[in-house]
Amino acid sequence: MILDGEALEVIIKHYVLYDHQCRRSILVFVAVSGLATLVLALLVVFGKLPALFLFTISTGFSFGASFVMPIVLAFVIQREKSEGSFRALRALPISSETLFLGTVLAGVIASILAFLPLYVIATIVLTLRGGDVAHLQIGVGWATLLISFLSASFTLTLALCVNSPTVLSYLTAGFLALAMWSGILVQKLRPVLENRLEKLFYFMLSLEGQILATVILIMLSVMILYVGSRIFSRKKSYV
Amino acid sequence: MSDVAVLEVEGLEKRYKNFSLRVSFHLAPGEVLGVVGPNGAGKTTMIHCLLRIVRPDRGRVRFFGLDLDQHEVAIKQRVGFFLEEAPLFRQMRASDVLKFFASFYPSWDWNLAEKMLQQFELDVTKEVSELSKGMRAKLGLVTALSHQPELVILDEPTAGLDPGMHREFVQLVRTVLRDFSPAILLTSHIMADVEDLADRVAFLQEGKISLIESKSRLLQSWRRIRTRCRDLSRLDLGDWVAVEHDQANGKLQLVTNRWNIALLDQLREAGLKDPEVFTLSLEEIYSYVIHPRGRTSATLSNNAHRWRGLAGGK
Repeated sequence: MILDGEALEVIIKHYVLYDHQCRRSILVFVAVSGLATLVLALLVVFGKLPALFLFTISTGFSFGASFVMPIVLAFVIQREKSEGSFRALRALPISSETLFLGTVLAGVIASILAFLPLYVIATIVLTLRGGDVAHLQIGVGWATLLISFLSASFTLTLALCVNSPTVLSYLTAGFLALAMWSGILVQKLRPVLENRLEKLFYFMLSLEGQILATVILIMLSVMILYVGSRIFSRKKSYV
Repeated sequence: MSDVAVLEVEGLEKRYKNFSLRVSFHLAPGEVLGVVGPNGAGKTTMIHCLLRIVRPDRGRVRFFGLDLDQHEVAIKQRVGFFLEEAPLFRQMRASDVLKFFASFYPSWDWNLAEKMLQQFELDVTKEVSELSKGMRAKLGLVTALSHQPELVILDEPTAGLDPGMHREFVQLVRTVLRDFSPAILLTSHIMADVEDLADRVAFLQEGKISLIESKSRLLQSWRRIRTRCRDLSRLDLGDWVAVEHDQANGKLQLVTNRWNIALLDQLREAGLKDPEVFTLSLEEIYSYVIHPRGRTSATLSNNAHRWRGLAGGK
């Protein structure tokens, strides 16, 4: 791999800071989720809501950011491909590997920027309240980071390697279907595997469980990145 | 200046379902090579292959003596490019586009960029999507030239520009040639641009270069000869690029790509009377090279004998 740190930084800034569509999406997400979390946090502080409610909603927003932001970036890339500016990007003095990794990192950073304000608000309030939920909240931050990495690797590999814009519609539909099916599956399996699920849940909360999940998610992301980067570098056409 | 060719293209091949490109040529330092051809001839595909926007199926490309596959980034830092219709990040401000490009070129000269921006009266606070086509083209030129590249690749840079913008563009390229004399690879279907700027011209047709020659030699060696002749039997038709003969009144028009004064004596010996010799513009030469069978002449009657072919074409 030929990676250039400065070029990597430029690509990340290009998408996260200078592209209006991406920047606007981050700001809108921050505004909506941040405001909602702030209101919930105030209600928790004044004892009008249980801390678990704030934890659940902020976790939902955090995980949401890790899926939504890479998809937003994937749409930006498809827009660049259709308007032709991706040709200019490819013609610039930057290796395909750097362009690929820079774009994926931009997706991860966009996710972090989107969920960080709400996460900070929720973490401060939940830590002040103390208890188990505060402990879980730290784990949510780490999990969101890992999911962002995996989601950005997968989504942006597809967006970069496939020139057809319809793939993104399928991808979005796929994510929604996955979320729905996961919910249904958990509901169905709960009566059957209640004990095991509970064990799994506690295992995931333990240090060993967290390390195992971290290793699996990182390995999966790195594998997708490696394969994606190879495919992207060997693409016959970038337009 | 080094003698190493700025660009060497050997057997560059790109195949699609209904089209294939296969070209070989070279470009010397400071030289301007104009590549002309109709729409769909493969000009943009060729440029895309050179900039690795499209990966060729076969062939070797060397810039400044360096292999493109091994030194892509180092090569591209020394090359400026202007892609067809200047596709420049429509969601970004023009000033951000310039900063973005500047970050990739170590030799980026902000003074030169400022000078061009002032000359073009370009408002860099606007988003690219708010700029007119002409203004976008100007911004594209600033991004292509501000790092003083040793080679500038211009793909249809004047397509769609109004006459005023068009003049400004040609003037700017002349200024650039004077100031830091880069080699230029210019593709266009506007012959006037190529005639104005190119040292050498390559005619691209259906993915192949049918003729590549220095402009001065082209203008020197192509002539149209008008004369009268009833009997063509003493004339070797295979020697001419085009022959148009009106059997009714004997009017004969010949086009050659191997003009020399001795040709007149040969024509007189073949019985042709009072031949008149005319020079050809690049546009006329283009029409004979690119459309050898498609050209008609209004001066000839319907029963005129026509024959076309690029005899002795290089």
